[in-house]
Amino acid sequence: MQLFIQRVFDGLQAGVVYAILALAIVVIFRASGLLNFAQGELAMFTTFIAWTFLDAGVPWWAATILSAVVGFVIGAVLYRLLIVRLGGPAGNPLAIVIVTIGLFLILNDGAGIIWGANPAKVPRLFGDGRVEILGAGISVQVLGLLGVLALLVIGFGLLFQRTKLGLALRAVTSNQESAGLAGVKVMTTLMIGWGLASAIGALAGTFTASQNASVDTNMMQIALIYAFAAATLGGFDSPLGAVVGGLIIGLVSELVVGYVDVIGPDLRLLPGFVLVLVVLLVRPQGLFGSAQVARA
Amino acid sequence: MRSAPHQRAHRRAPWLVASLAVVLAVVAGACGGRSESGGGSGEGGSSTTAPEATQVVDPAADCPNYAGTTGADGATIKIGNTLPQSGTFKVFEKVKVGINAYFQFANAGGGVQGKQLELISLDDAYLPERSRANAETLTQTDGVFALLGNVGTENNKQIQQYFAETQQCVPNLAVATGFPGFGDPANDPWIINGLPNYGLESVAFADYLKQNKPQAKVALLSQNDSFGESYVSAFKQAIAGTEITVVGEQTFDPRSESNPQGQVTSLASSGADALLLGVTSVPCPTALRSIKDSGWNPLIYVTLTCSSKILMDVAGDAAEGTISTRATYDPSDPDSAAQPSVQEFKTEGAKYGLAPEDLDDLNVAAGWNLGAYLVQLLKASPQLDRAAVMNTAYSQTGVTFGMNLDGIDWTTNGAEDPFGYEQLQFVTRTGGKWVPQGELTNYSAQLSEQGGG
Repeated sequence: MQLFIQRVFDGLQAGVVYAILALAIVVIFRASGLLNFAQGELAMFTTFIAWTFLDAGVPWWAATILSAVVGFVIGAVLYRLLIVRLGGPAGNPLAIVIVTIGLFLILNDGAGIIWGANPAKVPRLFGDGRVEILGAGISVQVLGLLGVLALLVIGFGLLFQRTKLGLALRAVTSNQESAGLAGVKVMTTLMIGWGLASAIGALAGTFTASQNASVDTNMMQIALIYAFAAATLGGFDSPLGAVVGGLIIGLVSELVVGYVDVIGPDLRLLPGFVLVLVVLLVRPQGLFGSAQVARA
Repeated sequence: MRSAPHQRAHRRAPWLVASLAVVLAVVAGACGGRSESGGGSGEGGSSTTAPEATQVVDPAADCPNYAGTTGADGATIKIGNTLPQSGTFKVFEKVKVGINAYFQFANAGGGVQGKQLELISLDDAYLPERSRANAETLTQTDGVFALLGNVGTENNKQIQQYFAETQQCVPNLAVATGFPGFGDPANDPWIINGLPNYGLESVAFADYLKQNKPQAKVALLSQNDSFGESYVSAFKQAIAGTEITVVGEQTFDPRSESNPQGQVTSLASSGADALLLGVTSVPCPTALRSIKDSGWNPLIYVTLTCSSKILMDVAGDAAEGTISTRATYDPSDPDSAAQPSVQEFKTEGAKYGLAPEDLDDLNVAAGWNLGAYLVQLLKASPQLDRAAVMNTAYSQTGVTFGMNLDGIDWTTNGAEDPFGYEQLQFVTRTGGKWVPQGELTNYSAQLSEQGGG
């Protein structure tokens, strides 16, 4: 029983990172109907920026928040300078997806050129403490990240459902032309959407770095694969779904690998993706996604 | 008005799946090419090797298109190298930096036989198939004389196979891996180890346990590739017949997870009181951090490749109390600063292009050592001919070079004794640095009990 609880905690620890990166993916999807494959590398890049602040003597918490601000600016600028020129989501979505894959490689190599090949140590956002529950241990770090995650989900839920900005974001995703005619500033709204997603991505980066206690140029690549699985599982247009999906993927991977000998660590990616497949067969829109309705 | 958001989502589904596949392919590229085992047939002689063992290579018999002086018949000696300069294992790019600095240093001193050394290094991102392609470029396009310090076990296996398939007799010198299979001149005399044999490390750890923890219950956590397997299999052989038992065994795939927390949980529950951590690069300090988080407190052996200052700094207090071995001085260790070889590295290295942080980097130091190895080898060779160099490489006695520890005498003797390093110094992580424990120990007897490792 103690071992089982420990594995649940391990699953939450892995899942919290997938969840927040999935949240960034979902926010961009809701705001612009696009997927950004460079989301993980963008997060890595801003984490190095956070590390640069840390190295200059800024406390890690402040560095994290600053990196989120920088992330917001980078996301907005990327949208304005790059994505718009490709015609935006309404123009040529495939071209934009390919561009984000290009960004993936540019950011990875760029970070290597700027910050070098070696990993760097970072502290933990919530310290090294540990809480014992029923004989199993969970770090204060993980509990803290779960708390932040809950706040973000509530925040984004309110943003999308209860604010004018959220309404504008939804309107633009739904139909850019109509939204523009109705007085929504389409360009600004989409810039904000990309900025917000990159800011969350920046948090995902510093969360991951805090978890591993180090930052390196490849830290987000594996997480990105799980995050896409999480977003698919939860539904691409649901912030809550992304988070629940991330935690489920973390738990399932950990428990299946831990208890099913045939799977083992070598097939770690398998259980999560099998689950995604099964859920999509039953509910194509994901656990929390909006059902697809076609107008007659 | 026909595109409600959900419709939009629906409409995008096919390309969404397609592009996910693309990204998965990009990322999973690192998974490719876990090549089959087996040392490749090589071009080498058979078991009829002379007992003198000075003649492991006979080009007249073994190399149909032998070109012994390619790459060394001009004003320069061209040396090729392939290692990761991007990707997860990018830290090893620094090996190239070290080799390059030593070459410049040697060139300033007149080079080798009046010829200047030239290094051509290519990026393989740790992907074995790219190492193979790089070996082809280096030999066919650049026309290098020999390869030096190629990183990665699977990578060198691919290069070995490429040379065998194309029947090229090109020296692959001092490969930067301790894989025991690269010390088998009866099978392939054209490749030789440049790091201590990984098996030697496992033998040393087993020996340490026999003396200090004779009833140890050991957990094994290893990378699921030939790097990890080398440690695990040599350790199991080394504890055969003792009261040391393996109570838990887990593997870790650095390409599909970044944090082995789950494996640590499993191993901790096994009740083990010692751990062999057969993991390298960034996942190694991450694993140490996970172990500390878990509250489990075994005696941990970390591999020599993980004991560098950079990785240990990342591990921080989580590395405290771990043990490891070394064969060379660590330039970042203040206690070694007075050693003449370390001072030479610091002053000459700085003069020939090493940045201040490079002078503390164990991977740079490893590259410097490989460069020093090559220069002494080429000088010792009767002529600048590929076969002569290989025969010299497999018949050296008591050679000292680079920053090897005092007392390390690099000795090889063909198939009978293919590994240069046979002695290791135990070290314990204490107060944020490695402290030597006991004397430099020769493990060649234990290693040969395992059939050469």
